[in-house]
Amino acid sequence: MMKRLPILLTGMIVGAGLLHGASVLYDARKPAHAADRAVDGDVAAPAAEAPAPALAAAAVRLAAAAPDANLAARLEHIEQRLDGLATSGEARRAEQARAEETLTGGATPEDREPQQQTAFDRAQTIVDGAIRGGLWTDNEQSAMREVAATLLPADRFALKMKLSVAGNDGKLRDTASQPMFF
Amino acid sequence: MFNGKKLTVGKGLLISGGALALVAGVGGIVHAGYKVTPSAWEVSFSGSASSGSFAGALGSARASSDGYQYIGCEAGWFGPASSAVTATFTPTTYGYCYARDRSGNVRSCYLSAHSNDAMTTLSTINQDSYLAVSYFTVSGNVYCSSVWVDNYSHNPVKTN
Repeated sequence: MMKRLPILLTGMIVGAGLLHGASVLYDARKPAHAADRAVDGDVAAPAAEAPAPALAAAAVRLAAAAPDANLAARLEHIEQRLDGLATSGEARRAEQARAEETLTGGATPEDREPQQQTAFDRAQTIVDGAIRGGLWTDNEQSAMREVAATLLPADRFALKMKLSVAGNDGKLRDTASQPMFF
Repeated sequence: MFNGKKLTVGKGLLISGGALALVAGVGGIVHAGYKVTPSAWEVSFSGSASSGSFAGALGSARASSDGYQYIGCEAGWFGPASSAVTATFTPTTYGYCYARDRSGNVRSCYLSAHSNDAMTTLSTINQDSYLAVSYFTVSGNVYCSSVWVDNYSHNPVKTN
């Protein structure tokens, strides 16, 4: 038993040393993992919606407190990336608003090619006639399908909305065998 | 004596048969689960042109005997129209919800391109869903203001 005691003690010391080493390595790698995730874009979506200035300020505070120059550089990179994401999020929303305005704002004759103008005139006649008569039938449906593909998206949308308002107002019944919109 | 014994056996059979029918009946009810009567969730409207709502189950509308009813939503994705703008174009999505009641009256609304979350909701609609949609009108455009989707086991089932 006494002969085995040194071996046992040596084993315990080596084991404790290994555990400590592993712990130090783990602590040292933690921030790097977090930074890698941000840089790789894993957290891109939440970051784009989060209040970027607050996140950036937190990154700066962390960078100032960090003893590791590499870590500070990484955090600065994150800050720049967060700023970029916030900007791209705003740009995307602005682009969506512009796209919607294009759709819902209507088209003018200048926007239309000759064949689009012809299709629009025909479609408008069909829609206005149906609203005047208070009835949308298979005749209107099939006539509209013939010209719908040529319409500008904004014209198509405007005509749909015309039908929608008339229907919601109780001024248009739909007896067509296919759904009213085209 | 013989007649009396025959009568006793007959009674026993009758009681056993009754008990069996009762058990089978109760068992049948338990297994059926709660179901909404299809006609209870047919297409219905409320409100006016400026604001209102429409609702109904897809299964009820389809099972209705009038030949008119339908209800549902559609959504579309719109990307670049040419290769020249693929680098700068931001794709957008929008959609519509519609309903037609048993008399051919219609209600509909537009789902704005800003309603990206609504598109996620639309994707949960299935053939047995119940929909409740509300809308309002501004500048001649009818916007959907809410889309509610119920996917419960008691919903009327779309059969054909």
